[in-house]
Amino acid sequence: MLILALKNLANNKLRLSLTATAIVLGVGFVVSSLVLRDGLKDSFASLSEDIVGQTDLQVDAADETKNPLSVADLETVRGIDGVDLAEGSVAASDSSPNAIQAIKSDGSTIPTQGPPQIAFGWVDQPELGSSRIEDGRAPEADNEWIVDLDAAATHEFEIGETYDFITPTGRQSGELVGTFRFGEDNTTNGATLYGFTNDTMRDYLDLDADYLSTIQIRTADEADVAEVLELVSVALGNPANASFDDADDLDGLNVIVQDQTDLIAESEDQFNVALDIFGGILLGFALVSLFVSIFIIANTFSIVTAQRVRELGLLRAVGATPGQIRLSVLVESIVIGLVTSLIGIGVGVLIAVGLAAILDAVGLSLPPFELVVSPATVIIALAVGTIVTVVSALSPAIAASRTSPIAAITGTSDSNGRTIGRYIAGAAVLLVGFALLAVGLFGGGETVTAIIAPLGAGAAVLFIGITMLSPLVAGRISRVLGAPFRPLFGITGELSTENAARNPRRTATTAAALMIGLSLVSMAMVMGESFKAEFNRILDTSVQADYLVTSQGSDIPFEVVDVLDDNDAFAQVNSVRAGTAELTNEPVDSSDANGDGGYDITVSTTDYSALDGLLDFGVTEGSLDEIDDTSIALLDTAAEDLDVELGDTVELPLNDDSLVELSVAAIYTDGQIAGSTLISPTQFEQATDTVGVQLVLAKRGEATSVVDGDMAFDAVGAEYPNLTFDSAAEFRESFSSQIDTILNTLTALLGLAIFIALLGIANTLALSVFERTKEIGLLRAVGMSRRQVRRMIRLEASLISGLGAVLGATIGVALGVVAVIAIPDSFISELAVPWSRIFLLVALGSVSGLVAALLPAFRAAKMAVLTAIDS
Amino acid sequence: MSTQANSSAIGSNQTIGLATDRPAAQAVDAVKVYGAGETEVVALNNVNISFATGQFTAIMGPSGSGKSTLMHCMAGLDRLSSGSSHIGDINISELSEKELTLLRRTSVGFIFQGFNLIPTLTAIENIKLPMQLGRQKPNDELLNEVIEAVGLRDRLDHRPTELSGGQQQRVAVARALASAPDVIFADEPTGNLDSTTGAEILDFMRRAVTEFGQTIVMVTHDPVAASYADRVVVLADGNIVDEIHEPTTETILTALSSASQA
Ligand SMILES: Nc1ncnc2c1ncn2[C@@H]1O[C@H](COP(=O)(O)OP(=O)(O)OP(=O)(O)O)[C@@H](O)[C@H]1O
Ligand SMILES: [Mg+2]
Repeated sequence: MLILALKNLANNKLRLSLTATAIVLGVGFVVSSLVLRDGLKDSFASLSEDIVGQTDLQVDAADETKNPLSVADLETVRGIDGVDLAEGSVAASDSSPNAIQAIKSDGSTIPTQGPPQIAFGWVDQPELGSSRIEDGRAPEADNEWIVDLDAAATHEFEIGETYDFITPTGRQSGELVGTFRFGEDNTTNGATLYGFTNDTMRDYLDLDADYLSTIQIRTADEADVAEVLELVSVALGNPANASFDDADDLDGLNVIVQDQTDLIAESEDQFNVALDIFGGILLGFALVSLFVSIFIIANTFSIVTAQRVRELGLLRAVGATPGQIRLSVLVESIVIGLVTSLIGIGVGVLIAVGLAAILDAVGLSLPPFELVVSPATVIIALAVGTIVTVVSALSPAIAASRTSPIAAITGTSDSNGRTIGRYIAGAAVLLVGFALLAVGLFGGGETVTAIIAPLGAGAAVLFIGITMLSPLVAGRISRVLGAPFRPLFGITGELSTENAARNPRRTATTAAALMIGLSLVSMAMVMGESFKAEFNRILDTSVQADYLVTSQGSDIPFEVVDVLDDNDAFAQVNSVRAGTAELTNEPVDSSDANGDGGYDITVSTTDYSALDGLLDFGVTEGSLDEIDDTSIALLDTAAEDLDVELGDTVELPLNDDSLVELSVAAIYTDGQIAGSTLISPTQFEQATDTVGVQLVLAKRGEATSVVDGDMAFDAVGAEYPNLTFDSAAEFRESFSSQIDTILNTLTALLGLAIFIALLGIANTLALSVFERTKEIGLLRAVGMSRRQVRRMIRLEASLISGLGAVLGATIGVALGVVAVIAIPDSFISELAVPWSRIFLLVALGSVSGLVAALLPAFRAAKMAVLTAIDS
Repeated sequence: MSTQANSSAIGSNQTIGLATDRPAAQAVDAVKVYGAGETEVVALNNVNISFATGQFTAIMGPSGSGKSTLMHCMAGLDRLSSGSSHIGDINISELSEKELTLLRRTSVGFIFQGFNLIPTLTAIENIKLPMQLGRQKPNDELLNEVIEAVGLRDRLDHRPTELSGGQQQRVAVARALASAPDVIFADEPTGNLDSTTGAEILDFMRRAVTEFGQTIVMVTHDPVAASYADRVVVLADGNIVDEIHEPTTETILTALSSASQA
C-alpha cells in the first residue's frame, strides 16, 4: 500500500501541484512572520550592544520625576574607588519621544510615524558609549549640534550650515558642527540621533541647570565591577545590597545601577516586547492564511478521492482492507505535507523580503535585518505544514476507506447517506463557535490574550460550522446569483449555474475559503466605519472649534497656544492636556487592569473658562466651572465603576506620593477627548509627567472671514512643520484617511488568504473540468464553441466566488455589528455599516473568480472533442 | 422550399427529394493515419463513400476496422490525414475549428453509445441544446412533432438520471432530429440497450428517415440493427469491402463472415 501511495503521487502531478501551492503559501506566510521577527530581534540585539557600548556601569534615577540625578551625583561617583571614568548625560525622556526635531533645508521635518528621533547630551569621551565623531567636531558651544552620519546623508544636513529646531521650549537655531558614527556600522535601525551639549539639552527641555539623565561609568581595570556597583549604589543613597531586578518594585531606592550585561538585556527586552507584538500580528494573519489553506487542501483531497472511487473500489475488490486504503491516503498526505513544507520555508523567506518591501512602500519601513531561519522556524514549519495536510486528509481518507468493492463497477460512492448527521454536527459546531465568541466578548477577560484567544478560536470554529452547514444553501444561492446568467448568456449561463449547484458541498467548501478572508475584511470595514461615525459624532456634538492642532509622536509646545491666542483672527483658543494616573479608590468591577487595587484612569485638563464654542463634554450633572484644585469631574462610566456621585470624594496620588482628596463637581458623558477625568491644571501638573499639550483648539473671531481665518491659521502652522494644523473639515478628513490606511493595510495582509482562496477555486474547477471531460466533449460535439466552454467555466467560478463573497460579507457585517455593540460605549457607541463599500467588496469578490477560472477554462476549451468522448 | 410547405415539418427543412443526386455527406480519398513510425496505424485507407439524402446507412465491420474513425472524420469531430469529407456542399476539411463547431451545431446530429445527455439539463433542455448554443429559437412545430414521435411528452422535465437507458437514447435521438441537420451520425446507438428497447429506437430512426426524409449514418455490430437500414457498408482494415442494398439479417451475416475471412 505504501508503494501505491507513492506511485499515486508521482502519477498525479497536476493535482499534487495545486494542493501543494496552498500548503506552500500557508506555511510560507507563517515562516515569513517568524523569519521577520527573528531577523529583527537579531538586528535589535546588536543595536542594544551598540547602545551600551563600553560602559561598565550605568546609573539612572529610580524615580525620574521626583528625584532625578544631578551634577553633584556625578561628582560623588567620580570620587569613588575603582571608578576610572564617569560622565553624565542629559536625554529627552522616554515619555516625550521626538521632543526635539530638526527642520530640514526644505522646511519639512522628519516624519514621526517611522523610527524615532532621539536627542541626547553628547559625551565626548571615546572610552564610554559607542559613538565616535566621523566628520567635523563635537558640539562645544550652546546650540551647536551633530547628527549621525546616515541621517545626515538621508536628510541632507550639511556641516557648517545652521538649522532650526522644534523643541518643547520653542523654536531654536543651531549650527551643525559634525557627524558621528554610532557603533561599528552606524546601525541606528533608521532612527535619527542628534547630539547637543548637556547645557543645550537642559535649555531646550526646560530642565534644571544641574539635571542629569544618566551617569555612565568605566571601572578601573583592576577593580571588581560588582564591588564598584555596590559602592556607587550606596554612595548615591541606596540601602546596602539593593536589588534592581524588579523594575516595578524600586521602593526606597534612590538610583538604579546596572552593569553591562543587565543593560544589554534590559534594552533587548524593551525592543523584544515591541517585536513580539509585531511578530504576533503577522503570525495572526499567517494563521488565517493557514486556516484558509486547510479548506483548500481538504477539498482537493476529498474531490480527488471521489474521483478515484473506481480505483479504490477495485483495490477493495482485490482484497485491500479499509485500513490499508486509509493508510495509503494518509501516507500520501504526509509526503505531500513534508515536501511542501520544505518548499514553504524557502517561499517564506521570499515572502518576508516581499513583506518588508510592501511595508516600506506604505511608509512603515522596517529597520535593516538579516534573514534568520532558525532551527525552531524549520521545525515549526515542517510540523505545521504536515499536521495541516494530514488533518485535511483525514476525513477524505475515512471516506475513501468506506468505498465498497462494488464501486469498481458502478463508479459511484454511496457517501451521501450521512448528510443529516453532518448538518446536525455543523449546527453543533456553530453553537460552540457562538459560545466561544460570547466568552471572548462578554466573558470579562482580564488580559488581551484572554479576550483575543476565545475570539480567534470562536471565529475559526464558527467558520467551520458555517462551512459544514453552507451546502444547505449553496445550491439555492448559486441559482439566485446565477439567475441573470440565463437571459444574458443563454444555455451557457444555465449550464454554469447548474454546474455550481450540482455539487453544493464542493461549491460550499471552495467558497468557504474566500468567505473567511472576505468576512474578516468586511468586519474590519464595519468597525472602521463605526469608528469614523463615532469620530464624526464627537466632532458634531463635542468639538465646535474651527481649527485644531494635533501632533503625532511628540507633544505640542505651550507656545503654540500663546501664538494663536495673540492672533486677532482667533476669538477663542484653548488646549487639552492628557496623561495617566491611578485613583486609589477601589473600583466596583474589574477595571483594574494591572491588578494593584487602584483605578487606572486618563486624566485631562483644560482652561475651563474658555470652553465656549470650542468643546462640550456633555456635562449632565454639576458644572465644569466648579473645577478647582479640590475638585474633579468624572466620566459617567467612571463614576459608575467607582460607585461615586456628585459631591463624593475620590483620592488622587500626586507625583510626590502625597494623596489629594477631590470632590466630584461634575459628571460628563463624552470621554473621547477628555478621557475619564478632568482636573485643574495645577493638580494635573502635580499628578502626571506630561510635558506639553495634546490638542489645541481655536475659534475664528466674529469679524474674521473664513479665508482670512484659514490663512492666519496656516501661517502659524508653517512655523511648526512637525505639527498638524487642520480646519475642522481637514481634521475629519485626516482621521478618516487614517482609518482607511489601517483598513488597507489589513486588507493587504488578508490578501494572501484571499489569494489562497482564489487558488482553491482554480483548483476545484480544474478538478471538476477533469471530472466532466466527457460532458464537455459532448457539449463540444453538439456545437458548443471553445469560447462558450471558457465562458461556462468562468461563470461557474464567479458563482463560487460570489457565494463566498455573499456569505463572507453577511457574516463579516454580522460579526462587525456584534463587535461594535460589545465594545464599551465610552469607546465607540455609533454603529455604521459602509454598505456601498461592502457591495463593492462582494462585486469584486465575485469577479475575482473570473481570474481564478482563467487556467481551468483554458484547459477545458483546449480539450479535444474526441478524447473527451472516448475517455 | 415553398413547394414543400405542405409536407411534414421535418421534411420541409430538408433538401431531400429535390436533389437526390447531391449526397448529404461524402468522403473522397479519405485517409486517416494514427501515430508515426513503428506505432503507425492506418485506420482509413483511401475510403470513398457518399451518403444520399434521405437514406439510412449502416456501417459494419470487425472491431478496429475504422468505423468510428470514418464517422468522426465525416462528422467534423476529427480531421482526415488526407482526402476530403463533405457535408452538403461544404468541404469540411477546409473549415476552421470555429466553423466546424458551427457546422456541428446546425448541420450534423450525434447519437453516441453511452454518454449522450448533459446530466444537469432536463430532457427538453437537452433536446434544445444545439439550438440554444447558437441562441436560435427552436422551430416549435418541428420540436412538437419530434417530441410526439419519441413519446416523451410526460418526461420532458426529468433529468437524465431519472430516465431509463432507452428513454435517454430517445432523448438523444430527439436532440439529433430537432435541429433538422443535414445528416445524423450514430455510433452504436443501441449498443447498451436490451433488444426490445433497441428495437424501439431503431424503429424510431427508421421512421425519421421514411417519414421525415432524415439522413442517418449508423455504426453497429448488430446485424438485426443493420437490417433496419436501406444500405449496409462493410469495412475491414480501413477499406470498404462490401455493400448491400435493402439488406436482410441473412445477407448481412453472409457479407460479414466473408469480410472477416478477407
Ligand atoms: N486515437 C487513436 N490513436 C491511435 N490509434 C487509434 C486511435 N483511434 C483509433 N485508433 C486505431 O485505429 C483503428 C480503427 O479504430 P476505430 O475506433 O475506428 O475502430 P472501430 O471500427 O470503431 O472499432 P470498434 O468496433 O471496436 O469500435 C484501430 O486499429 C484503432 O486501434
Ligand atoms: Mg468504434
